[in-house]
Amino acid sequence: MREYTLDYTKQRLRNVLVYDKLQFPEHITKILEEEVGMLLQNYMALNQRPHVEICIEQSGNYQISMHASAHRLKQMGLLGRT
Amino acid sequence: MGRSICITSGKGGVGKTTITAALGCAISNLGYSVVVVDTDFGLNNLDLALCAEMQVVYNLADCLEGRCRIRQALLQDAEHENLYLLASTQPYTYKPNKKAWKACMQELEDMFDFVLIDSPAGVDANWQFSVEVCREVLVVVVPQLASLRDADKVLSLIEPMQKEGVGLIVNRYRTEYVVQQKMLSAQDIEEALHCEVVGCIPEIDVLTVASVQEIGIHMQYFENIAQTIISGEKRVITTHTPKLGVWNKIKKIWSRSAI
Repeated sequence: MREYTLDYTKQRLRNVLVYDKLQFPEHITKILEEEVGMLLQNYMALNQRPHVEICIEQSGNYQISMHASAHRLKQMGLLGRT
Repeated sequence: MGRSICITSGKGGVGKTTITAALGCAISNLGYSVVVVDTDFGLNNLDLALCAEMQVVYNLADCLEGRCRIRQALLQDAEHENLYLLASTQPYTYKPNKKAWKACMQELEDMFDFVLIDSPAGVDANWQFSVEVCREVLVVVVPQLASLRDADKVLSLIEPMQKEGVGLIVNRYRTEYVVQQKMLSAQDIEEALHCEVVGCIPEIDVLTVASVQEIGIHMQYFENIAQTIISGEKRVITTHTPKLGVWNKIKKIWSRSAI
């Protein structure tokens, strides 16, 4: 019979929260690619639509990777400091 | 303008209604005017928690439907001068008008220092109706996996609403179990849900019918949370069970022997 220790409970909680987060909304990467593409296109001429990948870490945090390539920056005069 | 705080949870039966009523009492004890509003249509119990179930004439739905003015529907608490109840006694099928609800909330915020909303459990339309109009949210959890899992889902729905403040209240907390490594601690819960714990409330054995009058000496936990909410300072996490005075110890022994 399994012993229900606190560590085991914590592990179960972590697992269930991570598993629940894996249920991404449909097409989220496509939506993100479009949004990021629109943002980047304000500043540079892109070769193709950016590629977005979402992974979930063991800690439950999302790891978002984006890849985009551009052939030139747009002429914008002086960029304002943020 | 007053502060509107929704007291919600994912899982039912975690103590939202009792906490709403007790927090209302605690905040009013500190000298602020408070209204507690029941938006749990059909499964309303806030009137019971405040022992006002026989005094409700008009309710929230009457206000929203224009059958009465808000002032007519407010019930003053018998023991707390600054505490008012806006009850709900509608069937579960009642669909509130969002525009009227927003206007009602605006009026309540103008009238009171604090507007505490007792939301229904779950994530249906009535839950959204309760949470959307409030500027702050307190999610009640108990240190059990089912409650924490549901709270995580609720927090993910609250996140896009960009609330001014979101916190957790851990109910039925047993410090002795935490020390014995039998229960998740407040820190464990905070880390798992990525949300700050505003306060912990221990298991209150005397709370048998869930009415605020039973809370008695345990009101200090709610007062701690009330002070944290008001001051906005880092929370005080309860790590001990309250010590009973001699008279209360005798009463406890007496009540046990009576059983």
